[in-house]
Amino acid sequence: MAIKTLAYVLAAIVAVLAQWMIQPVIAIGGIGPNFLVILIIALALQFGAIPTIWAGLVFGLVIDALTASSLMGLTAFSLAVTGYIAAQFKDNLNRVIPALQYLILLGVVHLYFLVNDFIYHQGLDWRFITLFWSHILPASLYTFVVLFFVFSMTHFGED
Amino acid sequence: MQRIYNFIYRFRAVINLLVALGISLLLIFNQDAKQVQHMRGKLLDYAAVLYTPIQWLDTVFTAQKAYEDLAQRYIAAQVHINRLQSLANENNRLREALGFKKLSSFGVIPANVLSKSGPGLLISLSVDQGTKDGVEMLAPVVDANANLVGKVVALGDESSLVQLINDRNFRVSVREMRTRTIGILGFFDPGYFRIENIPFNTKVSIGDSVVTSGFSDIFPPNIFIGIIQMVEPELEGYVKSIRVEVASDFNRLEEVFILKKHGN
Repeated sequence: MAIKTLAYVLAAIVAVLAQWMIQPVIAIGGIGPNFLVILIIALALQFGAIPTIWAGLVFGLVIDALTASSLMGLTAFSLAVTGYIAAQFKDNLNRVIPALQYLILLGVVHLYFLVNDFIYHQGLDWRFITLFWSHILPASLYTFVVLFFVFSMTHFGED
Repeated sequence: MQRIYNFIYRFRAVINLLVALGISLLLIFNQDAKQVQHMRGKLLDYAAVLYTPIQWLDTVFTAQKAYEDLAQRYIAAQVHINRLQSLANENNRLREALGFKKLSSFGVIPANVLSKSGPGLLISLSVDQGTKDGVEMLAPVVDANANLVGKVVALGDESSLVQLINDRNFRVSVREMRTRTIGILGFFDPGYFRIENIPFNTKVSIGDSVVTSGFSDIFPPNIFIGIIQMVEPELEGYVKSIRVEVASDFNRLEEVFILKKHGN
């Protein structure tokens, strides 16, 4: 258990650094994956809601502080919500077929971007439908593809 | 008492979530609080330390090419400066003769880009100059060609965070150089730089230059932003909007210059 926890701590550090340093490099047309969402989903499925909520808050605040998003606390908010929702599938995700498992994870990833972008664009002259097609959907899909590779490579969930 | 304890235990995850969301909302609604800014500055300083070796390696490998580029640009710029200097002298003499106020001067603080980031689109840079180097909050930032890049929004002792002009919350008062039309430039839906609500009879054309207007406490006048890419009439027919192609390439920025009021 201690080794597993240590592995997740290392994964968390890698995810924060990747989000800060690598994400802008691998972004396509300004749309990049969110490594923290992947981390939070993995934490939620492994450790449950409470540790994930606080991890989401802390990592979100770090990333908020390092980017010029005018809303300090927004990523923390979105990650905490995403972590809580993802944790609801902790004990029953393995009971469904793999295709459905990944569909559920896509939904959770999508939820993060919906919450984050919806709040970020409040009061700005942006239509939701444009946001959805130009950012929310592509970013969700990109993040999901990375999540799929990470989970497949690490055999996540196969204890 | 036992029932309350049971209730808390049963809903402990939801309670934790509500507390975490409360903390985030508190921060969201207190963006300008000194403590929040201080925390941001400290985190930036720590993060800058991580980037220092990466930046050093990058400098070692690109130094020779950068030197050759700079040497060429220096000579070209020197010729240009000499011509501008004589025009500035002439302009100053004429302004003095007409009794105009003196224009404020700006110094520049060169800064290396440490990292580029954003929640989706690239919207911010962290740079290796901070309060110790004389950087001030909201100082304008330009690239090596003096095109507007953004403004400083968070300060550490040895680093700062620059909000780029393609942040959706960024607005800047601009002037179209040929017709002297004033407007507000922003990064609007669906992802273009636009100046909106320009009177319909204003005769702006594609290719005209757009610069900062100077009607702001932050940006001095005449910092180049870009050129007009397209003129879009609004449906009502009374106003139009102008789509602007910005000159600075945010993805390729390696060094920027932070403007400092009353410099040499």
